[in-house]
Amino acid sequence: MKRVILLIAVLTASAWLSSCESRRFQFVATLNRTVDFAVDHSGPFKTVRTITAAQIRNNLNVPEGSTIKRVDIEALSIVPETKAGNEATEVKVRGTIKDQGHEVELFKETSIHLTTGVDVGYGVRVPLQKLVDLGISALKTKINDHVSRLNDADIEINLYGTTLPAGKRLLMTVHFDIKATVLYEKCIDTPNFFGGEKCEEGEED
Amino acid sequence: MKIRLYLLTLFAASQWALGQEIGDYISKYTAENGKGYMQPLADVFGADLNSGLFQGGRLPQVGFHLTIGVKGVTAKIGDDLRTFKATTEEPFSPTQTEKVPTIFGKNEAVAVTGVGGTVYNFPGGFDMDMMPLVIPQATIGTLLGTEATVRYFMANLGEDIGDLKLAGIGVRHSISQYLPLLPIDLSVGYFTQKFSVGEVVEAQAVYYGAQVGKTWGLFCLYGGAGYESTEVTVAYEQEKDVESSRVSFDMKSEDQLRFTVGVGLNLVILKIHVDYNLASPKTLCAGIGFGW
Repeated sequence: MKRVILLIAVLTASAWLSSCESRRFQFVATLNRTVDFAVDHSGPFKTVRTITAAQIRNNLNVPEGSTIKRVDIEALSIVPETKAGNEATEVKVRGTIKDQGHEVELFKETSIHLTTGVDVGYGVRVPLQKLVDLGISALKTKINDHVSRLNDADIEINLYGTTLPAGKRLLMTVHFDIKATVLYEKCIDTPNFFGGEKCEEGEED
Repeated sequence: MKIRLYLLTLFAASQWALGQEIGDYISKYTAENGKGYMQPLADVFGADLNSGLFQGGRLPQVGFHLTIGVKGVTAKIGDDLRTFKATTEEPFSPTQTEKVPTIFGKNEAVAVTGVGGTVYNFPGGFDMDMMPLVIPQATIGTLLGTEATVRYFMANLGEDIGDLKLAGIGVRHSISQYLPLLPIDLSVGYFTQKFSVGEVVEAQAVYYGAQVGKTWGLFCLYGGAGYESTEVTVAYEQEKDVESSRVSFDMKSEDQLRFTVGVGLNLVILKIHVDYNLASPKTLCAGIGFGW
């Protein structure tokens, strides 16, 4: 009899451990999107690039059935890549984002030192410090619209610049990096010993 | 960015493996933070693996015995394993350090604010208080007072994950055979185990120590003291746009002291034992086996 009780206890414990239930967990998905601006100018310039909703969604890969809780911009940065033939030693750039037909400043003028001659190629990453709240907010809203499928309009980024010394040829690619995070919740099946809030029946997992 | 990382636990007889994608938990981390986030998993997993390796102390000089069974182990996840100090990673600015959840911590992201309305989010954990593991084990002996213990399990978890493998071997040698006047059974043992999940997780656990035991009819009381070490490597592909790079963390717990106290019941062919392990973290182990 004792053996039977023991076996039942072991089997019950095993069944409890092996059974699953749907629980809600919060996840952080990271967006790492690079927009390349190819520049070949002498003097002031403006270039425009767009990011599509499909690019944002593919990069984030937030699963179907998730609930988006928040989108945050973590950082914007630039990696300069000078090309053979570049004569400029410095470029000053600022960026805007198109929001409801108007350009909103995303970051203020930032100076980037460049390499010339035989030392062309990738330079050091420059984290953008002079960010503008309004522009960051607009970018955040657009990413949220894409990931939540509220509005699939492209994100348009404008890059303005001037070269130093004046009149020298600037031949480079500005790799503009956007790093953002999306907080989302999703119900997933986990064993009983995992935490998380229990999902109601019918909630998607 | 899309990272696939599979956390696998061996648990319960009918469901040996759980492949749970936790990429979005760890995708924030690439170096030291990743190590801090995952280190408790290495500690807990190692403590689980190093449990239930021996039962009782008596090892006759010669005599055949074979026991095949399973060990159910659970580690208690304390508060010290639920948080760690993490530092924001570049290019986020300014650099900040915060107390944030580990893989076992609260399921709440921790946000810190930076310049121009930027926010850095540290991911939450799975909010776990314990981590159970079920391990198949066979013990055979004895020759010259020595028995061998083998742990083995293998399963294919599909193309995405690969094979889950657990292989372990250990030997225990009787010291009391050389000390006939010793009123208790004394032995020493060494055990090593390897665990891998495809090319994502590789773990090695080592335990060595001394065991004592005393048998009264069907019952035995036993204990042990030893050292354990665990090394876990977690590696995965981190994707950025169309490029990807391999990120890996090496996590080590070296020479942690472990004390064991347990009771066993030997009912002819049915062998049962329960022991408690004072280690970091503490574990409770119950085993059932059949043999003679």
